[in-house]
Amino acid sequence: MSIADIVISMITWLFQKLILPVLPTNLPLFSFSDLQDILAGTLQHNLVYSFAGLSQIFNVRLLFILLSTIIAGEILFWLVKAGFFIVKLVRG
Amino acid sequence: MNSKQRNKGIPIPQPALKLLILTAIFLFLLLIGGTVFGASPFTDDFEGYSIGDLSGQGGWATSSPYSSWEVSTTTVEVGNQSIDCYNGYCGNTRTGTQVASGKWVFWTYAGYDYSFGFWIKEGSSDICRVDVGHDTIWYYNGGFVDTGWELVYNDYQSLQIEWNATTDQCRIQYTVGWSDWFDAYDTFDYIDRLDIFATEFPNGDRFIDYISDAVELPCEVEHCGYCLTSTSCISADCSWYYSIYLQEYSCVPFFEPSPEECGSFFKCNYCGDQTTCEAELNCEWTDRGVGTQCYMQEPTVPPAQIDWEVPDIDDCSSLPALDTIVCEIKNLISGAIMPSQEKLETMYQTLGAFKEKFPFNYIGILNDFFTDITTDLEATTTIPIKILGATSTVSFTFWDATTTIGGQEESFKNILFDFTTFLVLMGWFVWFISLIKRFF
Repeated sequence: MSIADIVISMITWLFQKLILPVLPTNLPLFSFSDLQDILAGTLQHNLVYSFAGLSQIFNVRLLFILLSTIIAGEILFWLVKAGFFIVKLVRG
Repeated sequence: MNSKQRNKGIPIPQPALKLLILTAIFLFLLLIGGTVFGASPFTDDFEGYSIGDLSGQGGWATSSPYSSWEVSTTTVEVGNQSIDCYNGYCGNTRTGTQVASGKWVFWTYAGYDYSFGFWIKEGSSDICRVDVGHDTIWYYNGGFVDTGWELVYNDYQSLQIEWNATTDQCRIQYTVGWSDWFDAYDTFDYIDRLDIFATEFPNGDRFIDYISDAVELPCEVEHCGYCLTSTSCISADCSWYYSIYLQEYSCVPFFEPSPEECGSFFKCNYCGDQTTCEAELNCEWTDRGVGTQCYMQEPTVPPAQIDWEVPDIDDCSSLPALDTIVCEIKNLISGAIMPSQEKLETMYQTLGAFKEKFPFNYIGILNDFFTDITTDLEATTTIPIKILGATSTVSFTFWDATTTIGGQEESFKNILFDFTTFLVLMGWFVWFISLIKRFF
């Protein structure tokens, strides 16, 4: 067994024993399959059906990229605020 | 207790004894052919008769001065035979048992708009008359009364006539519900005779089939819905089917799948020759042991997705002595540092499982959604319109109209695209500034 094998075994063990059992696959009130059904099913179909050809005159790709950055930015902001809140809570 | 008393057994009350005797007498009268209730004087499906004149068969006689209906196999509802009047004037009569209150059901077929009809009689006395023709159904009530019911052409339809000797009335039913009771020609005690006639001349087919006392048809392959048990259903070459929705069994016509057509993937085996086979997607014309046929191509299993494959160590056997030593040292170091393929695959699978966990799976599906939407929205379509009866499609040529901006020619489509892009970017920039402000 090489040094790399030992390192990989450690990383794999950490993931398999400590991280994977803790992380959930589905959220209790909004499961992954529900999200998949809504996004890849109804919502996608309706959007494509309603706005077919829109991307010729409207930069849909840019809009989605910016929307993604907004979502990520708001989550980041919320996490920072939560961090500060916990720090204040601990410090009293 | 004396012997006389012992022989008496359980005493029967006198009123009950009288009722028992009267019931027995009544049943006896019924058996010997007295007037009955709730049936029809006779039934007939015209099966087993010789093709030709109905007269002289099954108790039927010709009603003078008409010619006879003819037994036919042309258009039937039940079995293989019905009766047909083609030559204008037809009339036949038959007498059966006496029925005080009962019902007759006739399956009638109107091939054209001239009438034929039914007289139900007490002996030779006309009691009730119903006509089929002139686009509707008529009954006689001292004068002909139009029911207003639409006549069904070129298909069999049941016509029911019910009579009641107590009230001296009749009523009829066709495609809709029962009519009101109407007075008979005369008072009557029973019905025992039927005359069927066609009194208008123009040539054309009129058929009557299956005269009975119930609207239900016999259980046979043409009328699977009337089979009530699995045995009778299967015997009639129908299929006994269980509906999960209704949660009950019913008899339905045997399902015969339509012949499949040559197509892609699982329909490859329906392609009869090499040309049609190879024209379809994922089909191949090959021999897999039972002769050359069209098959769906064997799916190709993709190789395991490994990001990095471990390189083989060098072969040092053919090198000169000094190079062999260097090569062996290099292999030793490589062996000590390089991971094995098995460990790499394990780590890859573990990371794959990690990507399937929250929040990475949710983020992944969102990413896929945006990608798919962006791709699908590229597609264009036409919008059909109809104005004052003229059909056309909406023209979008104005998008490609050009103008000159700053010395450069630009289409309307591109100008609008740039403008909306600018608006989107400005909106995002406003949000970004507000986010920064919220941080500080």
